[in-house]
Amino acid sequence: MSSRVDTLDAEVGFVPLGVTCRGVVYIYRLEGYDVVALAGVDLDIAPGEAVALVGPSGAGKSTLLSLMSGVLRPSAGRLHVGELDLVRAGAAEVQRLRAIDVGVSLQGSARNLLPYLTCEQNVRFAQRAARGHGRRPPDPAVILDDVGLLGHRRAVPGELAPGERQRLAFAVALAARPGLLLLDEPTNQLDEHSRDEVLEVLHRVHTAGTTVVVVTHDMEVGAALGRTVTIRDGRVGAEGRRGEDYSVVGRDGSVHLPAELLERLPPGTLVTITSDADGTIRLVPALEGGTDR
Amino acid sequence: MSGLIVTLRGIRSRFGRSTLVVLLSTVAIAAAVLVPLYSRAAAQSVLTDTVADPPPIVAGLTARSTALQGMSAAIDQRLKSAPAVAAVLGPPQETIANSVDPHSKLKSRGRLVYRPGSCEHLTIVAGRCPGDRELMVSDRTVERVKIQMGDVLELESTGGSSRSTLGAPPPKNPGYPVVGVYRIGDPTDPYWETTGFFGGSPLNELDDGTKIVDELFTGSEATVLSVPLGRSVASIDYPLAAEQVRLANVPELVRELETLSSDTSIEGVALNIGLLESLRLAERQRSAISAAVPTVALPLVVLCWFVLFLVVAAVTDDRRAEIAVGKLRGLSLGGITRFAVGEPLLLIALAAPLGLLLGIGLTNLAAGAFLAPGVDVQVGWPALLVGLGALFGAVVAAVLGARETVRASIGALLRRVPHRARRRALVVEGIVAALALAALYQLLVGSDEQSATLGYAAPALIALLAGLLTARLLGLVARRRLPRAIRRGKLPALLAAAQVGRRPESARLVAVLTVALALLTFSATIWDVSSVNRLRTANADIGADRVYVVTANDPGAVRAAVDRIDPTGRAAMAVVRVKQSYAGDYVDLIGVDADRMLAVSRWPDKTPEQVAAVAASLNDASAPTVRLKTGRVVVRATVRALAQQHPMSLGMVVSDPGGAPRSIQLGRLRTGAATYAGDLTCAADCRLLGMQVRRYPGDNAPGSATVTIESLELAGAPVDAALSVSGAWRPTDPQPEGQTMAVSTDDAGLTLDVTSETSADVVAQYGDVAAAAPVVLAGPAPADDPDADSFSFPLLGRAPDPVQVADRVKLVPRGGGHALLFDGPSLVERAERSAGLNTDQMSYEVWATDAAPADLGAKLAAEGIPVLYTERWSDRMTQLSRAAPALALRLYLFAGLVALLLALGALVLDAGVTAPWRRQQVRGLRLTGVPARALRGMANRENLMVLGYPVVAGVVAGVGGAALVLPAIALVSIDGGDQAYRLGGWWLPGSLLFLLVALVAAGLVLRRVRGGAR
Repeated sequence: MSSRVDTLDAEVGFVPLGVTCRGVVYIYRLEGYDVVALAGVDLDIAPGEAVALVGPSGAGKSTLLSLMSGVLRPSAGRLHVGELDLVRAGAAEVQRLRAIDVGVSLQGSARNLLPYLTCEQNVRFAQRAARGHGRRPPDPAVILDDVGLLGHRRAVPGELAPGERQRLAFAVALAARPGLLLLDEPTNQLDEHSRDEVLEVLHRVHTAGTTVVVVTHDMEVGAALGRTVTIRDGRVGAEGRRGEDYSVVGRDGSVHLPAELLERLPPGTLVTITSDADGTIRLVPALEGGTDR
Repeated sequence: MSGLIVTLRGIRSRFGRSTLVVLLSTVAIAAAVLVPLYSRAAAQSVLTDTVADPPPIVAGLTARSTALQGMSAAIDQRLKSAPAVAAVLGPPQETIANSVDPHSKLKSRGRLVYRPGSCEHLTIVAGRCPGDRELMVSDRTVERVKIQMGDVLELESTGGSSRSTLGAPPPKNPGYPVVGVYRIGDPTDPYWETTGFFGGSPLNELDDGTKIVDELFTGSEATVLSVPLGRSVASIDYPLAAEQVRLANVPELVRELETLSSDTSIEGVALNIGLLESLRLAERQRSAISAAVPTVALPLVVLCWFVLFLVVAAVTDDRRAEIAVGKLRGLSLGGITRFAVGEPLLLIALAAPLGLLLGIGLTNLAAGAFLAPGVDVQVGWPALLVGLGALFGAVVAAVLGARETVRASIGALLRRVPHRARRRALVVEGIVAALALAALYQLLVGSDEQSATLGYAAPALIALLAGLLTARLLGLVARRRLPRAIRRGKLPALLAAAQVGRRPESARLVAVLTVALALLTFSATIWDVSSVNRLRTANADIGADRVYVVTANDPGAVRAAVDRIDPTGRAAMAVVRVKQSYAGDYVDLIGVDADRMLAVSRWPDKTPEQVAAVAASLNDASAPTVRLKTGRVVVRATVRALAQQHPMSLGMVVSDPGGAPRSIQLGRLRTGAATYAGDLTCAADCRLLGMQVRRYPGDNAPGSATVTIESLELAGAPVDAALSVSGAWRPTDPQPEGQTMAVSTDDAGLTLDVTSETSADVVAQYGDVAAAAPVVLAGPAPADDPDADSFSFPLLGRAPDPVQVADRVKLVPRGGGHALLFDGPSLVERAERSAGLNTDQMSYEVWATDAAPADLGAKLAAEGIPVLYTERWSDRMTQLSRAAPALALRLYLFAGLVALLLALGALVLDAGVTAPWRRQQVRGLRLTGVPARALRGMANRENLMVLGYPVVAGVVAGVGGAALVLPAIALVSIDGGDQAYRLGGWWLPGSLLFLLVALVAAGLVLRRVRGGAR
């Protein structure tokens, strides 16, 4: 992030925000049946942290991102963004959150932009609500400069390359200088060069202190962000920190086995769990007629 | 960056759609504005026509007194308290007259008149315009009473001697010289209207031989007043300037006129004001238009708003991704609403002045085309307020249209979840259904007063209900078809049913289309029926393309003139009329010329073939007419079985044209063969009416004879009187009491077998006319039994004629609903057979087609048949088309047309809005292997459902609604009257054709807009 933004941070009231999820459940209520998208997510994201949410399609990553942005409300559990309890927050509070504190970029850059406005006008449009709350967001030129689009300020989204459009979507999400940036598949369908440009912007945003949460299938993006959280079957299944992968013990004591172990211990397998004196915990599958020790 | 820039850029990016929104809003606001503007202009039109209908002097103010002096000042003083009345009156015309008996060679009576300006309206053929104590007489007077220029006429007051004081010396009558002779100019000159002047026709004289002469004009009031013991009548006429009577001034005018009417006498001056009656009639017409306005305006404006609601809903729904972006950026509900509604509101604001201008322009066009000349469109506060109201309604419709999308969550906006009809919609539909049923009930079984309220809204409510039900039905059908199509594996049907069933926009479109088509077909049906009725009324009122009301002495003269002018018989027809009173009412007796009737007359309810049949049935000629001239009549006859107390004799009955029958004595009856003879004198052609056995005067003793008439000669030449022809001769019907007569014919001749016990002569009629006169009857028969098919009634003669009803109709040309129409020449001959023609009560007309010479009037005048005035069928049609019902019904047509345009606009807009995702959908389906043919089938089926259902339901609801409402609607006159409920014009078929073309065009547009969907 440029030094100009840093000097403005005090003026715009920039505060990095953390996220706390405790047993977050979300159920899609469809005609005739319900689908449990999140089945008790526990997750803590510290202010200023950069996190990639990874996992298979349909695992609930985007749903979790939507819950963090206030687009969806949890069916159960607790979810805090900064100091705001999103379960109990009123509509005005959620609006204020989205106006000032949380920048969201949906999957597909076009969904975040008004196609008939120029780059600068798109950023200004995204700043309207913040101004309405008495904030003085940064000059759109500064934001566009940060994402490398200052030269395209008068272009409309249709005139931009896909990578540029994605960066414009970032600019729009960053328009009010939010403390939390939520990005859904920002590198999807981008070529390698464009992806690198996007990652570079992400890096700068994170470096500037913004909490960044990215939903991605791209492991390189995850690796670039430092912390990856794997969502599987609506729960946090594993975490990766600094290149190491960890399983996460759930609030109910459950642990997602890594895929290679799951082959050896298929669902339904009886296991004995023992703890050694050195702290090692053993999972011993039961043999037919007794326990294999 | 202001919100305006975002809005403007949004509008520019959706230019086509934005243009359509502007167009629809313009049409909606124009429609709303046009209704009050047109209503007001139409009310002004009927007001102008109504007050201009009577002669200006009749409609204006007339003051009567005994002297002009001072009267004018008194009236002016009175009019100062009624400035509105004074403003609509033209310059006054003064007249003072005194009935005098001028002393001349022949006894005469006339009016001594002072009327300023009269010389300019007369043709002075000798001398000059008279001054004070001078006279000017007419050329007719000069001829009739032998007055000459320079004669000094002593003027005695008519009846003055009876007013002289007993014992007083007789007053000295003044004598004034005749200084000028005038000829009457144009008697229909408005200057002479209502004066009743110029009655000095050659025939006008009193029983004592006193000749009534034309007015004697003089140059001063003092001259008129100088006749002692006279009773002068002074009048000042203020003609009405009809074009000055404006709608806005009517309340003030009525108030002032009522005040004037309540005290019409000022110091011996009597006031008579005709305008008040005209204004009251105009007010009734205005009320009729006003009553029709809500019926038209309500559904139209509601439809406009609903279409706008749909349009904004569709456009906003199409912008759901943008609105989601706004929400995602934390815009408040107000901010999002402004963002979502800003575009349509700006477009509607832009459309408001356009709509206003369009409304004014269209009203001006309508005023020029349909309304009275000189009626301008007045854009006052009411129209502007209505415009503002329409704008406000449009804004509300736009906000409501955007509401659903604006209130949706971001998740719903991003997922594109179809809207579902809510319970509220059901409640609204229930209310509409209840109102429609209540309106129908009032219309069908309610009293007249009730029918005028909710009943008038029935068509609109029926249309609305039809729209809602059709939309529901479409959804139901689509949902039913879906599983069936799945079971049968019919992919196009499955896809179409799914498409229609899951899109609530389809249901809304279907509702709008149904309502629009119902309004269109309703208005076309009503207008079609009203057109038929206007045509029918004009035919019944006028009877031909042109009708010349003429003066003549007898029917034969008119007929002869017409025969000479139009020997072909295809362009003109002489008509004789009598207005006969019967049982406290009047029956119009119309004698046409049956041979020319088909070519010339316009019949209200008959096709040319039917008119030809009627004409044939009116012809009552049987044996040929026998014309006789002056000469000696010789009859050869054989008498048998002669029994008599006093001698009976043989006679022949003849008639002169138009005269009563008379008898020629041919000699006493003698047994055996003998020759009988007598002298016949005829001024013109006489007609043989019959042969008679004449009784001795006063002889009531029984007598009988059998007389065989073998031959008839006139002046030595044989006369063919069909003596051997069966049916050519018949006894009189009814036969006088105490008489019998048997008539037979054979080769020997005509045999009359007669018995009589009365002194009346026994007559055998020559049957050149049928026994009973065939007539066409409209209304009840003028007889004891109103349903009688045969009765006796005096038609053209002084005695009753036996009448046989050949046809019963509702309306007779130029006779209306209570009239008898017959063949004039036949009835003239029939009158000649009985007691002669009743010429005193006859009036004469010449009916003509447009093919007749334009100068027919002049030609008739040259033939000695002067024309009093002319009536034209086209003028009557214009008049009817400018009457209140027609002007109100035009609004219906306008509403139907606008409704269709709005609906088609909504259809095209929906197609445009849905085109992108339809293309996506189709691409997806193609990728999954659905063949292009199945996709085409899907599109065709969907179009068929979305367009086909509304067409059927709309036409049924429109025509059905019209059938229900028609009896409650005045189609031609505000008083209702006899109305025919049938289609006859091209309006309904024309509108259906227009609809077909419009739908084909819409289909092509849909195909083009959804191009990628195929």
